[in-house]
Amino acid sequence: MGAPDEDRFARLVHEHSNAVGNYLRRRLYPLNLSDLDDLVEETMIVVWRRIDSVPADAELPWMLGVARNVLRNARRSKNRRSAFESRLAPTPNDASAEEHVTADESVRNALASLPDDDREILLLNAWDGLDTHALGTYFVISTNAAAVRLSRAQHRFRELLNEAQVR
Amino acid sequence: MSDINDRLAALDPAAHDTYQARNLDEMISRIVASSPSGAARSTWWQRVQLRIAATLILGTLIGAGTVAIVVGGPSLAALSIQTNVARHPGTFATANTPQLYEETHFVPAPSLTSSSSSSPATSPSFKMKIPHDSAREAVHLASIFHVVGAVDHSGDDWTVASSSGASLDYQTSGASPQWYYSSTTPKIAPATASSSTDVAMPSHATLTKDALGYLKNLGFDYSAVSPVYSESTVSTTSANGSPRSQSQEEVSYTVAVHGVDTNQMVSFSVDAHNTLVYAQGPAFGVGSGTNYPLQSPLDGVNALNALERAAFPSPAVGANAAEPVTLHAKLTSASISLGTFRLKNGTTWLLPLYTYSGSVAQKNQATVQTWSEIAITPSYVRLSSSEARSVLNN
Repeated sequence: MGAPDEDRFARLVHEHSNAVGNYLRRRLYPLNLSDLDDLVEETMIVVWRRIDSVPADAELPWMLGVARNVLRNARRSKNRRSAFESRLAPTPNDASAEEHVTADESVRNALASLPDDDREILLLNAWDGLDTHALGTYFVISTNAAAVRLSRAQHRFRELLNEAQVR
Repeated sequence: MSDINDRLAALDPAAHDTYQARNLDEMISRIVASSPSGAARSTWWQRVQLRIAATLILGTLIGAGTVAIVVGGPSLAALSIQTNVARHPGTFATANTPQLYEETHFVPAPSLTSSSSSSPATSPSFKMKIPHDSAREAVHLASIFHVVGAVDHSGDDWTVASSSGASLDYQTSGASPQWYYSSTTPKIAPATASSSTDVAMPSHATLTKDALGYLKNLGFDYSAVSPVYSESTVSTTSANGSPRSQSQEEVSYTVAVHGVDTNQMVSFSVDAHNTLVYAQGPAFGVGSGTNYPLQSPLDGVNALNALERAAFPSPAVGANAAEPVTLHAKLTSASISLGTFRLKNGTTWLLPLYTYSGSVAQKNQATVQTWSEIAITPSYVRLSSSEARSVLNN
């Protein structure tokens, strides 16, 4: 260590590895928990390759954006595995985010009814704690656009939740 | 949303099984030793960095005040834009769009080149008038839709709900406040709608008359143009579990100010009995316009390319090496519209934009997209950073 890039990379890894791991953990399905460490390291490899691109004022959301791409590629690889493997039922440890939500049926139904984009921004805010500035970095849109998009997602979610509770 | 966020947080998978990173120093050593960092960057990128730094310093000096007077334009104040904007396709990024890894190269078609010589020299910008008392505005808007009840305030959301279940939401989180009306039954669930109906719906003329009536009562300064009609059937499940459906017809308008289209929309949906079930739109007025000089559409394309180069300084790296990392967009037309921008002084403006239409070839498939760029001559615009610019899509 010692070079500025290496020092910064070490700091990023120490400060954000857990957040990146939790982000991936929430969206792991259909991968296994045993894949988690590898996905975190794969994310950090990309971060190291592009260390100069990491914005100083939005390091974590930028890294979560990388993690999203890493996870997507891992899922593609998973889908390419043998039919035998793809038919294996997930173990209890592999429960998806949606399966965890079954404890609150109305929330699960409302989440399931949301468009994908709305669900993603809603959970990034509620679970990963990204504020509108961070969401803007994550989605590569302006802060205000992220605020509007989040607000609309919350609005739709609340409507769906209210509807489920009325029934 | 705090109550809902609490319910969501309680169901967070990672809250029950928090990830704890292990052996981080080993991982760092492994990564640093086995792969080159971005250290092998080209001298070209170093030159770009210098240019960006110079731009930032200049921008800081000039834009230190909220509004700066532009040399050579004594009657026009520079617009000091607060938002870090990024040229961006007209639609939001989606989970399936690898935004971080794809650089776009914009190429103007001959038709765009020839149209540049005939483009207007100036175009008006408008300072938006935003209601100061949000609670009062929510009550006023609710009354237009015959919703009467107490105002429930949470963050940037004011809700008026009637005993019948109809509600009016007034939200101020965006640059332009938005209002949303929903009747009691059914609540709108966009994800469950199909694009057809099996019952007779009100005529377009009837829907238009009703929509224009509501717009007149709302009393905003904007006009509604270019109506688009659509029908849908929203499927829901009744309390006893049986499926039920609700046919709707919607008219959606582009909001225009003094004859120029904006990036705002207003829409109204009715059921088969011509009862309003959903409506939404922006809440703002406008003052008199200020004419700013425009750059040419071709200069706007150059600006788009410059911003791309700044956003992707080093060779683009895809997480999957097999994926394309540079997209080529052929721009065929440019039109003037108004986009919403918040300035550093807290005011919100509608500024002229070039909206470019073009096609992108990717994986043997061409898709039509749009991109926007501020049309005002750059010397009159102060951005808060060298990052890209985009319209506030609301």
